Amino acid sequence: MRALAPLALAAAAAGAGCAAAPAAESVAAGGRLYARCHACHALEPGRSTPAGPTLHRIVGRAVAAEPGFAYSPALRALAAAQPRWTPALLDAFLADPDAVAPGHYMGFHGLDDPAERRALIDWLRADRSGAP
Amino acid sequence: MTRLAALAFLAFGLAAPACAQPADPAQPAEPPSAAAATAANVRVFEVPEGSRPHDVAPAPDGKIWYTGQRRGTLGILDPETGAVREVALGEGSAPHGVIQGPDGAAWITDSGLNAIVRVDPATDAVRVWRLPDEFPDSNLNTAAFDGRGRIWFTGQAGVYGRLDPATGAMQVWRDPDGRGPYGIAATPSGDIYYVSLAGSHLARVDLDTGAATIIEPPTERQGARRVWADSRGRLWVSEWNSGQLSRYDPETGEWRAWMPPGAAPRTYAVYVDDRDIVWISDFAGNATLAFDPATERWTRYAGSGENAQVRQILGAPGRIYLPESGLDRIMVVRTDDTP
Repeated sequence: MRALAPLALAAAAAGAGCAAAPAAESVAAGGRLYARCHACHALEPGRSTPAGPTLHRIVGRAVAAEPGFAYSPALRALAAAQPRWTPALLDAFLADPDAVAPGHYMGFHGLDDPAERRALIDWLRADRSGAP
Repeated sequence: MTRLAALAFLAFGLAAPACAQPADPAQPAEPPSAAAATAANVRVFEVPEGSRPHDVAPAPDGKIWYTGQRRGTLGILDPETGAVREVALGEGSAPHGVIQGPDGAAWITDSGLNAIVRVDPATDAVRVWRLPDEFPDSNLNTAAFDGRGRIWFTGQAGVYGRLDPATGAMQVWRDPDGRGPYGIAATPSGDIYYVSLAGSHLARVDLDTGAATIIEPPTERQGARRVWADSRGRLWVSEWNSGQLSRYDPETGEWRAWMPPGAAPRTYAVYVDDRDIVWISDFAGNATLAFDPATERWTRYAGSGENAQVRQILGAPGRIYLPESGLDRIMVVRTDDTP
């Protein structure tokens, strides 16, 4: 996977389970990483596409519960076992979606770099209520 | 890691004609059934673990190319021996599509490199054409050559483009509906069409200006995922969301659609073989289905294991190639009588 060099220090400083506000650099790097998700996932509420559910407020949201989206059996099974997208669950899923939800339909095989995953989660968690 | 795996996989179901469905989102009262495929015409090959083979294409020497999306490679499978050789495409590579160009080379849409990549079949030399800076992270998807030697490609982030290998000139345009351009195909006359998964449309591109004309399928939000042309230039579309296999006739503007057998199919790939048999993959049913438009019968080929996830289908005369991305395997279905 492509590395985002400036991001490693920021993510290391933030710590994996830390509740402190994420570094601005990490959030910005997460925004660049989201470009890889954009093709299938919108951010606006109610804007799921046939390719993927919206990621609006995904951190803390119920798993496989976006109205109107046809989730795979794998994601429905994950929801039964782990009902919420906690940061820890998102991190594990982004690291190895095949391990967390075997048989999922996504054309995405994971982000190897923990700093990249942290940045993406920070960015998804950031308040973007004013975003289009 | 290149061993030949076991072959036979029994499919199930009863032979019965499938009912043609009008282009209507309503589901048939009773889904059609599929005939059983014979095991004798199926072979399965393993590729290196973690390859996640996404797309396949026939190589000119009888071998099979596949994109090792997770390993950043072009894989080369020899179906005579089961041996696999890999060509590394470069740091950051995540190849999605592969086709054989008119020059006999492998042409790859590489979403990791955000580039069109050519691999020379004789030397393994890798040449890269990156997209312009104003189109980063285009999520490159699939490509097709027109009748003029130029390669057209889609980017799921919302773009499509054209590269002339003779000059290196590349142009990229934005899809009128935004994110979603996925499968792309050339008709026998060299016209180029693509479909948009998120946009749920078919589009025809003007080969001179590059302008895309959207052609709306009758079923709303059907999730047009891939497209392929038959020998008459009709476009067959796999509809991920509706599950339908649909067909558009550019001459008449007519659409028709058929619902594959099985409960709530998720129709991903589509390919039309040299006999005009239409092949689709169904994620929900974990199977590939061959549809004969003349008889409207389906034949089912079960995945070689759970969650086989065939994301694309291609072939050569007498052979159908099915990349099982979820299993790191490639299934080959023989459609003629040769051994």
